[in-house]
Amino acid sequence: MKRFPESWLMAALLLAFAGGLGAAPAKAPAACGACHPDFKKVLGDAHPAVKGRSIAECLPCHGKPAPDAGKNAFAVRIHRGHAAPESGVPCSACHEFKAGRSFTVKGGKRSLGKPDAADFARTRELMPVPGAATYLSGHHAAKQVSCAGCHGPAFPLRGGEVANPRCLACHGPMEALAEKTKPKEAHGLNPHKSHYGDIACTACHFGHQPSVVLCKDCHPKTTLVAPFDK
Amino acid sequence: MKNPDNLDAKGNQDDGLGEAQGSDRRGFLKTSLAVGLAATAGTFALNLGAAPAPGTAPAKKKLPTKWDESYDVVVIGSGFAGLAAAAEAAGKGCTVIVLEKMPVYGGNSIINGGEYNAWTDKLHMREKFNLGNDSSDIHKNDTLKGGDYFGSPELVEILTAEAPKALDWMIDEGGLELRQILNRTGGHSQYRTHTCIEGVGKGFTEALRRIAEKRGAKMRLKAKVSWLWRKDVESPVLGVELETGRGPVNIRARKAVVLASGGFGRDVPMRMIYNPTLNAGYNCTNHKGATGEMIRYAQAVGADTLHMAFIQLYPYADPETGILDAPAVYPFRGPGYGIVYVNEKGVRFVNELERRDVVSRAEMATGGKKTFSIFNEAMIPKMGTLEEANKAVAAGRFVRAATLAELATKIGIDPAVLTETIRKHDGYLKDKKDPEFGKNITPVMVSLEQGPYYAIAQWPAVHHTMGGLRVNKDTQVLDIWGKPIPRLYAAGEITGGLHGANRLGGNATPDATVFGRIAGLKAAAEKI
Ligand SMILES: Cc1cc2nc3c(=O)[nH]c(=O)nc-3n(C[C@H](O)[C@H](O)[C@H](O)COP(=O)(O)OP(=O)(O)OC[C@H]3O[C@@H](n4cnc5c(N)ncnc54)[C@H](O)[C@@H]3O)c2cc1C
Repeated sequence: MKRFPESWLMAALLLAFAGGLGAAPAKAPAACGACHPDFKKVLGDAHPAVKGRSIAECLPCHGKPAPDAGKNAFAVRIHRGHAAPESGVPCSACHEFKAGRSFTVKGGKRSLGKPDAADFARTRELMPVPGAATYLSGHHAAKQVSCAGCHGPAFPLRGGEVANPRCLACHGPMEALAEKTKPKEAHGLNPHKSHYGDIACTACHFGHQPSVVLCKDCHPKTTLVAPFDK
Repeated sequence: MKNPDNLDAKGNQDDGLGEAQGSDRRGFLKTSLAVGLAATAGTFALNLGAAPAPGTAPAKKKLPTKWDESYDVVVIGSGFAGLAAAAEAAGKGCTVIVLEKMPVYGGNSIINGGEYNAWTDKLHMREKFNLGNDSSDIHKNDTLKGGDYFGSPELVEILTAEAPKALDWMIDEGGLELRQILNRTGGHSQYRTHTCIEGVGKGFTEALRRIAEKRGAKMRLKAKVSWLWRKDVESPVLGVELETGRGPVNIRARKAVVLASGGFGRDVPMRMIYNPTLNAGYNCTNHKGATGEMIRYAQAVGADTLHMAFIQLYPYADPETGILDAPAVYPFRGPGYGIVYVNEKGVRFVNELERRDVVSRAEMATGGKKTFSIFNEAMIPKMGTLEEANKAVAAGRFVRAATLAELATKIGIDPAVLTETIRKHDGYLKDKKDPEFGKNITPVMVSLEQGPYYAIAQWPAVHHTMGGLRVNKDTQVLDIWGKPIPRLYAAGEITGGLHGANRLGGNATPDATVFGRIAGLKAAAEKI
């Protein structure tokens, strides 16, 4: 049932992607220096002087594999400024991408994964202004948690899942969550201590689409709501 | 249902499927059909593929030219049947994957009432509690009679003979623990209904999961099967198509596919095809994934079905939501110990030992919106635990009172009428005779002379689909000519033909477990 709109969307995204990475709009800068003649203005005095004109200059300090759930990651900060479509900055300003083979930061040696064209299109759709996006992902980005915070250092692929330990590293342990969502009424449901036992956080919590309350499938009367369900 | 034309539209996407996805119509007609039943001599074939919309031409699906993954045995569904099959196939050294579409495992099994019928068990509970005789034959006869003799004697015989062995297997190898109670439930002539410690099906699913995982079977959640691959009416089933976030993925089953995807109780359109009265107005006890798509896919590759119109209502679900929770199992366990069912006026309306279909119909015939089970505290240890009962009271599911009159007031019944009903029933227990409904009174039934008293509201909800795929005693799925479809097995609620017109409570857990085991062993025995 869902297939049609999805694939339609996908086709549209592929086109968008072709425009985005392949043929960059005329005004799109190829190197940072085109828009930032004076890095000091953006980076402030505390930042060591930057001489070169491309993202490669940042890598010696910022290019280490992202700490898994680190806050204020370079990746978040740099994408916030540049990933909005209006910014006119194409992905290709900083990235190199060979569909199904590699995805790198220009000048970086390490491939971040092997996304295919559709993976890339989907990510591109989700990227604009991290933090302004709705749902759980936007909330995380606004709190300076990078994509890697949930997905790990590899490029997230479509349909990928985030495993519980990653969520619980910041939000756990599960018992603490259960304590937080302990129902007030004797017959209330505790979503973090259900009769199913340990279940995937992603049964209810979705990063890039509205979250749901799985309990409602069978307990229609529950007043539980999941954060970011709209 | 998927629309393959849309797949065409994104056929040049690189999502690891190679040629499997692209399809041009002429190429399709020239090459072998994924599914086709020869209509007339010549080139065209009747294609039973899923149509994009009702009334439009069937989908044309091309067989995968390459497989993304492969296993010896591919099991669809993670309930009792799927887990038992996976455990047995893995035990024979097969690589096994269990594909489950929901984000949690266990289907109807993990939320079930924890009841398992077996005429004996290694703990010898019946003898221990002095609850009379039983045998595989008596269990078989009850089951056939309870299904109005529509059930297959051949299958029922396997069920009743193997149920105790499968129970002991889960105890020995899966760490299953049973409550020290044995119940006589609706439609059964003997005390043979066992309950796991947890009082819900999770006790059994966890035992099976432990065995399956110990033996190396793997499980994948959020993995919805969207097609069964078979070349033509002579060919074996080759594998399955899976819907994933990265598009369809094709999984080869080197030995066999086991269908263990459960019943279709939550599939309103499908149940209304077979029984138009069972519209969305009926509540349902099932988990949300209890839908019939796998039955359709199996039909589309030639499988036959039977008994599809036999759909059971559970008479004791929560009247408001249709939920069958732990408290809602007490009315089911109680008849053998003297529980009394009354209508909204406080009057009995049925023989409590009757089958589910009879009780459900009698409830609806009361003309009310709910009925009640009435019992007392002395009965509770025989049906469950006091701890569970206290929880049910706190949750507002059980109503408790010191006297019958007070209980009646609390549930909105005239105290005089309810008291009179119960006093009469107490008399029937003494006389060993129920002149009103002919209930078969036994010495272990508890009289309701003493409180505290309990009540729970109950009403029918769609519960079990007795019909499904036609299988033989080896769990092979049969085609419309009665021939086994090579390398396709099915077990559990997806199958039809065992329970007949009405399933006796507590027979489905052993059905799925026993036949799941057989399916796993038979699948493992296939040659590569
Ligand atoms: C609330 C309740 C209480 C019950 N109590 C009892 C009891 O006490 N005793 C008793 O004997 N019987 C009881 N029953 C009946 C019994 O539990 C079921 O008949 C039995 O669990 C069926 O087992 P199964 O393995 O065939 O199917 P299920 O346990 O339902 O498992 C099938 C699984 O297949 C999955 N699936 C379906 N389609 C697909 C697909 N396309 N791709 C991938 N996965 C798919 C489903 O999501 C599901 O998880 C109860 C039923 C319910 C609903």
